[in-house]
Amino acid sequence: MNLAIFPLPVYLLPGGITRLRIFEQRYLKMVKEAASGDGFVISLHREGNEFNISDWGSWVHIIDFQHGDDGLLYIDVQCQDLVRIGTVERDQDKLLHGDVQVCEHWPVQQANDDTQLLGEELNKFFDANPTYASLYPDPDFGSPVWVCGRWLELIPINYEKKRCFIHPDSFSKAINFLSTVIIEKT
Amino acid sequence: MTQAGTILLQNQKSGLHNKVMTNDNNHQQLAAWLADVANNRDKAAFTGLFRFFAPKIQRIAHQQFSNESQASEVVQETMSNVWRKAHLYSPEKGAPTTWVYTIMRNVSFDMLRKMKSRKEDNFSEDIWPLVEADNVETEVYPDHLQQNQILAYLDKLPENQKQVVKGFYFLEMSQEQLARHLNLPLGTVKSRLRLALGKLKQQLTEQDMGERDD
Amino acid sequence: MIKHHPETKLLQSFSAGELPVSLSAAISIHVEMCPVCQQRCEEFTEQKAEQYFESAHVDDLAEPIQIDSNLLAMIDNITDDPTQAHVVEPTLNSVAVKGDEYQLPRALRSMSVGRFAGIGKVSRARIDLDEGEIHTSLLQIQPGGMIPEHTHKGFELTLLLDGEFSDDMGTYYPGDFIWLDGRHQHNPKTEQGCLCLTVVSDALHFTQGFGKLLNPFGSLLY
Repeated sequence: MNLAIFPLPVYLLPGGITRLRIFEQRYLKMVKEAASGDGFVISLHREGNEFNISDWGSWVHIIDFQHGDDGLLYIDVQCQDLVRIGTVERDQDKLLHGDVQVCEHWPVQQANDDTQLLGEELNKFFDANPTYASLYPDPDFGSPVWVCGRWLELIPINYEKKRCFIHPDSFSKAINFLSTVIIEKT
Repeated sequence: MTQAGTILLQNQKSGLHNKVMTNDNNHQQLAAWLADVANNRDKAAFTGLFRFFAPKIQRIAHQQFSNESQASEVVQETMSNVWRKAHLYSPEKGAPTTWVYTIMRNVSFDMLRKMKSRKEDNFSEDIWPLVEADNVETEVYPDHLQQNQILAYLDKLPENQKQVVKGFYFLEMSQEQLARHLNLPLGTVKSRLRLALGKLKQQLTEQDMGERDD
Repeated sequence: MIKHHPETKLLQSFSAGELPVSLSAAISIHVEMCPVCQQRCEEFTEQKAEQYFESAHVDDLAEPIQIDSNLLAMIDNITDDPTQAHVVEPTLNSVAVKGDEYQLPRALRSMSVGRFAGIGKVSRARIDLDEGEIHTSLLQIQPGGMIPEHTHKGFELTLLLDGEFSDDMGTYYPGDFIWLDGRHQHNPKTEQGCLCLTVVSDALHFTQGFGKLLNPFGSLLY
């Protein structure tokens, strides 16, 4: 599969939603393509390789859009899957396209005390942050995977650290990590 | 590579930051001068800062101390701190004017104490640390990577786009927000994050040595 | 967690550097532990900076104003020094009393703490700040002890640094900032023991309220 790549410092796990404001020509083009097709990939900017993008990304679909008072286009995108990024090319509009392959993320998890507490805390965070909450018409505070995904997106640690939570077997690490930070637990 | 067109959901940072980010044209110039002083020890940039701040500090200090020579001492001390500490200023933490104000306040505080109690104990930096603990911790814990990246993008954007992007913040919470949300002291949240990262690192080295293909 | 905070005026004066060292240190300790007050102080500081450096009558960058030559000479003087301030992580002080050791908060780290002396379960060490009628101390109370009451002619601030205590109003936790003046009655007890910072003034004029206390750089306090 070949998809447009939008290099952004946004960490998004499956189910995660974020709002983007688009104003550059090449990305408007990307949005146009994405709207009628397969979405695009948000990949972390990373110095090093030719196009300065990471080797993985969040494959997103546009789920809503609006024109802001500033005349700019706002789109809400939701991550469907994580993808591994292969060969990347730049087209004449300077838009990046890459061959991508879907990666598995966490399998479904049983709820336990910790995941429940994390869900409650997240629920509180939603209540206190209506702008953020408005992105999620249908929050799933009962799902351990959904709750942990949102927390990891929110938690202030750097991307290299967050990167280790993209692996399918990393759920227990994620729970461990979040419990230490969010729930008083040593 | 220029990364334009970003945006991330604005978060709930205080309106304060919005004001700082959007309002004052002076801020950009002042911050640029501070960066020049920090990185290049640039005297011309310092002169710019001096011309902006010194007369104002002089006037304020004169009101407080009712004494010309003490007022000059406040100017001298404050501006000399600006020269020597410019590298400690970070635009993410607030406006350059606020930063210089805190330096002036500390200088005045210590000077007043000296006058009244004849002690030269300079407590101000312990009471209002200019360099917050997290500055010291940045090596261990570079949590502003994301923000720095955005700021680096911003530098490369044309002016009109910069203005647009700057009004926005990041999906991620700040440490302060997390602390507020959990109703915990910032220090506690930081140490929990550190603890959690420490554990994580341990797990990774135990289980995943060499497995990661990055 | 923390339920007792300095009132707005105190936070404002603290942010403006207008309070004596003792109270400034106490508020600094509270603020370090309390994200809410931290945020408020940041806002007050920012407002103050705006008022001083950015209000309408303040000259804009666009119109360079005349600076007198004395000031200008300062530029050379200052920039002659090529060094940059070196940042070191502050080392903290600890105190030991009756077998318990406590690490003191940053704000107290350079202050000279006297020897602990006490009767029964209560030990006190003076912090020598030379502020006249304002006395600053560390107070350690062993489990089961009572916190001694003061006459409250002026004001009495108790900042709980470690442990807990409670009175008929409830239980207090580290970071709680408890300000009492003559009107209050309280009989605080501690079950597990605690360490507090206290700032006490016997000065009668403080009973007149904050008005004078909070005058910018008011001479009353020094």
